[in-house]
Amino acid sequence: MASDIQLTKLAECAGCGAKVGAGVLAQLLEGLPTRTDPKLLVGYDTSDDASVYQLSDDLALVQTVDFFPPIVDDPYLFGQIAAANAISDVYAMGGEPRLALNVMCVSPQMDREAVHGVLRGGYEKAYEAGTIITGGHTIQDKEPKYGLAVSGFVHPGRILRNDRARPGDVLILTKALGIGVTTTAAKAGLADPELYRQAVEQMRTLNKTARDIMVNFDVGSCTDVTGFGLLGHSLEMARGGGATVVIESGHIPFLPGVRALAEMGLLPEGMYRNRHFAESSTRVEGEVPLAIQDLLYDPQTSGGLLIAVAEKDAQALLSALKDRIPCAAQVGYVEAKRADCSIVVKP
Amino acid sequence: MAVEINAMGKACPMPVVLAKQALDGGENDVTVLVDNQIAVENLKRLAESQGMAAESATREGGFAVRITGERKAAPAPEPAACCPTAAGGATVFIGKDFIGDGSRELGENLMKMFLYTLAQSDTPPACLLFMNGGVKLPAGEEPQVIESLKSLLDKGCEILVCGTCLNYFGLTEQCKVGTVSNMYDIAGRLLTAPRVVTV
Repeated sequence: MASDIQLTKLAECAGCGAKVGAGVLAQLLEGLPTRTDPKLLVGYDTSDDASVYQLSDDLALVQTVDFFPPIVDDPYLFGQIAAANAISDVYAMGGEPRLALNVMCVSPQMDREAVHGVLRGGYEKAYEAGTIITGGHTIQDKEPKYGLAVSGFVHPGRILRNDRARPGDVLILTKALGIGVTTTAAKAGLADPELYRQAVEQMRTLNKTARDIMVNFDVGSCTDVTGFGLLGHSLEMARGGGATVVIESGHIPFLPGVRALAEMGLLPEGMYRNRHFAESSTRVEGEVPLAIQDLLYDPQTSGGLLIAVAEKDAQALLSALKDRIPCAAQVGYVEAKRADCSIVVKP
Repeated sequence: MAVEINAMGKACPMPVVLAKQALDGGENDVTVLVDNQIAVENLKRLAESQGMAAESATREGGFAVRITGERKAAPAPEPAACCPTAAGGATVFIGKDFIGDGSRELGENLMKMFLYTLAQSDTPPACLLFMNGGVKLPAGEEPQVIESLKSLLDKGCEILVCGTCLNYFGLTEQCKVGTVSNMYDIAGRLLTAPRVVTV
């Protein structure tokens, strides 16, 4: 049954690390015609996680698509991770996913079992999310790729945008950082098997639990931490809200052992891209080791939710999250906009 | 002795890996030829982590990074910081919501006490697997059971609850503790666990 193909050997970039850099993306989209529609509540002008279109007074459609080359060798696990990652954008908007379509590229080296394994992983993960895959589109390509176009629903009054951080909000992160460094080290055979197991487990864990808990609290803004890294996504949150985001690096959950790997220079290209994009808006206050800074820029695949919650609700939300997600941690807060930077990193 | 490694055309992390192999082999003057700036930055970090110096210069088609100096002793491995998994603990398969046959009422109380005892143990199980009637425990209304399971979760015990079974009993929305899982994962845990206890 098991396929012998090592999927990651068929791809140059892995997972969300393959994402085009945030700065480059903005340039690519510049000058394209934009149409407005009063019913389009969230469009691409705010680089949010998904678009939202109002259908009625109490219902809006959430749409998103996400796909990438293999980040793990096992086809079934790759399918699960890619699906969890794609569906996550709906959760990050505060919505509930309902329908999905497969987006797939099949390379000539993939046998039937491998293709089937990827799809089965996607179907089962979608089912776990209460989402039905109703079809899709598959093309031939040199590198395998997989993901989903996902549709979900949200109440128009309860959309959680990624750019509405309010001064005074507390920031909570629901998954540990270090995925990019782990998969880079794994390519070199330098990732501890237990670290690798935890990284895979975390990547294929849906953000559903975090979303279902979060919507019961006064959350101002939310995004999922993926290819742009914690600081890249924090920057989008800070800029849109006209605020400054303060990250307390000592409180950040990291996958075990990734600091040593980052110190050793096992850093993915995406880390440098993210650093290039966000560094000029970031100020480091106090002693923050280079390896920790690097990890804050590390591109994540199927990362956790970054939630900006009103201070009065922060402890209640955090304790409700920790019941189900032991990793969840308070990682910073939002301040009034500082003149010289959008992000402050503290020890 | 000085060594030179040609890592031109090699994608990250290979330049770092090749350099580290040379350092591990006792070399203290290693020059690595690379064709991209990212490899240069990563090699500088490698040198820094080993207490060695790195200098880079441009060479035709790329850069030469020279790592020199006395290598410091390897640091002790850092302890696991997040989401610990209880090493060495048993995997417990729970296929019903009571223990033993004879009296159902007694069996339900025994199960409650069993989970409480596990939660109080200094060596909690690594993993609890709930299937069939067993899913009524994490999806049930008994506060002490939920309390025990949450406490196990806090101690790093993994809790997997069969999604098909929850669905069968109409309890899909009721699961209060643990991760809703599937046959693939549960079978995987059973087959790879060093020790499985069935209740």
